[in-house]
Amino acid sequence: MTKFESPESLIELDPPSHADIRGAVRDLQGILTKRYMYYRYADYAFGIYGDGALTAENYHEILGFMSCLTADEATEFHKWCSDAADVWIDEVLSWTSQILTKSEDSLSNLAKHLRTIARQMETGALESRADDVLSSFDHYWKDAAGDAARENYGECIGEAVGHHTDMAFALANGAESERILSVAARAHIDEVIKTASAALEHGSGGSDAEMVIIKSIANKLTDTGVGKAFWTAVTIADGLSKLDASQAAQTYPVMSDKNPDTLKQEVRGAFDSVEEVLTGDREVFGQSLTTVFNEYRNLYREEEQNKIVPGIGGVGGRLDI
Amino acid sequence: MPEIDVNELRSVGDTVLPAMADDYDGFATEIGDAGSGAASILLPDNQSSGNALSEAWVEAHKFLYAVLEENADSHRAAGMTILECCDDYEAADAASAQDFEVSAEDLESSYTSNFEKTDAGEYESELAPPVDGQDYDITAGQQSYGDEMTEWAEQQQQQQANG
Repeated sequence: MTKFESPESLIELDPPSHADIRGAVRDLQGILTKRYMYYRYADYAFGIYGDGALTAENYHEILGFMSCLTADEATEFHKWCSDAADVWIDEVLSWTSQILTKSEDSLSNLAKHLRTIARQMETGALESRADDVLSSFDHYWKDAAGDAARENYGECIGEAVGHHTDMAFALANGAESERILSVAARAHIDEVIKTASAALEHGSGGSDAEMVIIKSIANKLTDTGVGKAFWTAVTIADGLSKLDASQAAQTYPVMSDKNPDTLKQEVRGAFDSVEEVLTGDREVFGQSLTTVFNEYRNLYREEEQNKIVPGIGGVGGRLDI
Repeated sequence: MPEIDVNELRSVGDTVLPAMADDYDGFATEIGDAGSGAASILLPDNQSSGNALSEAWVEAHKFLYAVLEENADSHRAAGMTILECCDDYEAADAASAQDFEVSAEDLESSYTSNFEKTDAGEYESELAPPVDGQDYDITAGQQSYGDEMTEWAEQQQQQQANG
């Protein structure tokens, strides 16, 4: 199963595309049809010979049934099983679509666009203008009004610019985090399909499929300091380097049954695990982002609004935010 | 006599701060445009595995947008207030008032009045003003995103404060 060696390695993770994964699911048609034929015949034979009479070992000895079918019956039997395989594939494809809903390219472009804006805020004229204002107040405005303007306004502009820039980087990292979670989900689903395919081929032996790591990386974000460092990082690699992959949460969806109907339940279980991990990660990331932004909201609300929206006339409580 | 260089302050009021306000208006518009396009990317229909991060993102985005837009209005108002102060200093100078000072209270009331104007869009700029922060909304469809996350985080912080 997919192992993420470190948080940073998530950036380089390159699982098969959504289209390739869908292709791999469709490629299971032949073996699924064969398995349905086996198990449906087995069900029939149980009906004839009784439970326990048919085993994998004596299957061939009592197989006479197939050779007794007319050509039309054989075609009908095959179609019945092939249709069942199609249904299996359609269901798994729809589960896949419901997890891989977001366009990673669009998320990537959104993140790049936001990061460009954040960098412009960081390196553009805001900071030097803030310095100019404070310097002018320091040197050329020495009376009661000048003192008030400097204390409540001039000295706050630079800090406010820093907060605004940090928030813009946080939005970029938010979009990038969604993309990374989608990539990780894609890696997991790829493994689920490969494991299901192996189970159809080989049956028991099972799988050590582990839905690991991402959840534990996100858990570090519940530390407010780590959360802030992650969200305000100027690159996603910097952000991920603040996290730690050492505490892996693991679940082990097992896929071991050649019977397509039973296997489908196991695959559904594996998808449930992926959804659970992804939902949990999104919650932790989301709560962390909200916590960081609530700090800015609270600065504004708690009589320090000049650190967010500097106003030369002191604190007034203008924004309903 | 207070040490005041009216020419220097005037350049802050009529050049530096309006330029800063324009910067902020520009950033608000850019961030706003990015966010408007983001709703359909971040909040797709028919999804099976939660969307807490994107919902939090939408609320964060709305906050930053409002802050940037409000900064533009505030810096523009501050520039107007400084220019009014400069007029007062020069008028006092002409009347040879040796110890004339603008009080902090005067500064505040001038700023409050000017902020109302800039907030209402009553100013000159070559830039198209962004949508007012209070009116900005990137909710997708009829659904409002993020309120639950904000509520959760507030409760957590409250608990920490009490704990």
